[in-house]
Parts: sequence; C-alpha cells; structure tokens
Amino acid sequence: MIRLHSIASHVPAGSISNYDRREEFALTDEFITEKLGVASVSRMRPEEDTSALCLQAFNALQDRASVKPTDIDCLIVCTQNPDGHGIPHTSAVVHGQIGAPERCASFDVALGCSGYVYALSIAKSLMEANGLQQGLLFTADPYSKILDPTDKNTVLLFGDAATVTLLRADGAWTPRRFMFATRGADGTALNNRSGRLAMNGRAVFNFSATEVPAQVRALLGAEGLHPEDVDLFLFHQGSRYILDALAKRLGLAAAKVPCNLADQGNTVSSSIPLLFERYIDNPGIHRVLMSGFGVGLSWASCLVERQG
Amino acid sequence: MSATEKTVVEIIEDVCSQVRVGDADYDRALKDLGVDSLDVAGIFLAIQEKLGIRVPDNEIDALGSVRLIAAYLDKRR
Repeated sequence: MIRLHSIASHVPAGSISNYDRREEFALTDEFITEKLGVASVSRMRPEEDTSALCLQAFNALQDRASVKPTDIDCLIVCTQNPDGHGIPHTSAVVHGQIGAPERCASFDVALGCSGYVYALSIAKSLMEANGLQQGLLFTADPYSKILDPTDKNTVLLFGDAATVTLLRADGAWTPRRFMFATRGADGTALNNRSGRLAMNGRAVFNFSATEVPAQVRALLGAEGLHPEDVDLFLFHQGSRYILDALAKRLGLAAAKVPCNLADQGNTVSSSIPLLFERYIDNPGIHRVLMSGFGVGLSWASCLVERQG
Repeated sequence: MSATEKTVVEIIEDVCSQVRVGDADYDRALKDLGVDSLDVAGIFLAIQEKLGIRVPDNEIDALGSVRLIAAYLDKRR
C-alpha cells in the first residue's frame, strides 16, 4: 500500500504586498484581510522556471526525510505552466536535475487547482499496479508567468510555490477514497487567453460554492462519516471568501478549515499540500479531507487517514 | 416594504454578516452599505438558490440597490 510519507515545499522569497496596491486597485484593508485573505503574493525570480521551484522543494524534502534520488521509481510534476513551452516535460527536467535513475517513470499532470488530489490518486494507482516503491509528487504552477499585472481579479490572488510529496509504503497517511468531477462546458470561466490568465470570478465562485460542498457530502456519505468525524478540511486556498463560504455551507467550525493564504496567496495545485505540510506530522490529526477545485472546471476530493 | 424587498434584505444580511440594511437604505447603493464585489457574487448565488432566478452577468451591474434588485426579480417571476 502506497502512503503519504512527507511533504516539503518551497515558497519563493520574492513577494508583492497587496497593501502596497490599495490605491492602484481601490482596495480597503478589510477587503484584503477578510475577503482575499492574501496580504502578499509570492513571486519567483524572472530567471527561475518551474523546475527550479521543484528542485528547491526537493532540497527541502531531503532535509526532512531520508530519500536518495537513486531510489526514486516515479516522479510526477503537476503543472499547467511547465518549463519553457512544455517540451521536454518538466518532470523529465527535474528527473535530470535531481539525478533520478533511468528506470524512474516521469510525467507531468496538466491540471490546476484540483491537480494534487488527482495526481495523488494517479501516483498511488500507478505505483501499486507496477510495484514501484518510492515516488515523488511535485506540484509547481507559477501563475506569475501568465498573470496580467493590471487584472485585479487575478494578480492580487495568485502566488508561486512548489511542493513535493514523498510516497512510499512506510508513510503514515493512507488515501482512503477519491471522488473526481469535470465540467468542461464551463471551462472558459478560468482560462489562458493568448498567454494571459482570465477569470470570471462570479462563475468560479458559484461553481465552487455549490459543487464542492456537494462532493464533500457525497464523499463523507460514501464512507459513512459525518463532518465531525474529520479533523481537518483542507480546501484549495482559492480565497478567504470562498473558504468562508465553504465552511458556512458545510456547517464547519472555522478551526476545521485552515487557511494559509496570507503570505503567498493562491498557489494552485500547491495550495493543499502546502497546507497539509503543517499538519502531516501532528499526532493529534487522524483524518483529513482534501478538496481541490478550479480550472477545468475540475474538482476532486479525497479522504486520508493516519495509520496507528 | 414589499415581500421581495424583504427577501432581498434577508439574503444580503445573511450573505454579508457585517451588513445591516435599514428601512431608509433600500435606494442606497449596495457598495455604500458595505457590500463589495465578492459579496455581490454571493448575494446573486443565494438569490438563484432561494428564488430560482439566475441573473446574467451583464445585468448585475445595473442592480445596485435593494429596490432595483427586488424590482428586477418581480419582473422575472
């Protein structure tokens, strides 16, 4: 059985404060704090690329867990903003940079905010089906590459980051059940238009506030669980406003719906593992529900449980 | 106060916990009551769920007060 062993991350030191943009975008402090929840957005350096963020996350993982590059059997990068123009795939670039062996399966998963949950299932299934012992699941989607600096809807929200999750049999966290969904017909709500990200905030909010609670309830119901049986609900960190809406609609206490938007913003597929990194070694946390939602439109949820 | 106006006020106050709409506020601009752009999305989603009326994106900007929203909803019923 493949489990989650460790998570490490890299948030670039560069950042832009939303408080410095109050005049430019007619923002109030309350809107920044209570609605966006984002004090500053992280930005990688211009000379950096997606693989560089992954490499930094891998370096952080090596400080945390015993993992030799030569023992890696599977390397996945979840990104929609790969190195260069995506050829070769970023996972192959990272494979070369960390010195993984040739037997290592490496591929990218082109999903946005639902990507971590999807890729976790892909990695687990691939590894278990093929007897792979040790896997690395990276998330790195630096939206700064495609943000329109004048677009208030997006530039105040999205930040750059990368995470890596070490997957192997001796991990403590077992994925228990996954649910997936797609509504491609509404994909224009959040898309890349000629190299610039465009978001219909109302459409994305409506989708998130209605479909995510429904999927969460369905997942809990399928497992015979109630919200009180879950220690934490790790939602994709879209904005403070959407997190509050999800908590309200599901009747969850704020303490069960953590938010880490303030210092880096919405980091797309990295947001859930960046949050889980805080709790993965907390012995008081036993059951976690993760739910990612966004670009696609795509949404996916899963339950993970600590063993022992 | 019409029944629709009362419903709109209830929705606004439920969606925006920090906003209170007084009797004299029905013609005031929602933004002057403390309703921001994100709240607007929440208000119109709640209207859709409660009343079954979906307001198109291009019509929302014109519905900037309780009175205007209620009149619009009455016309759509």
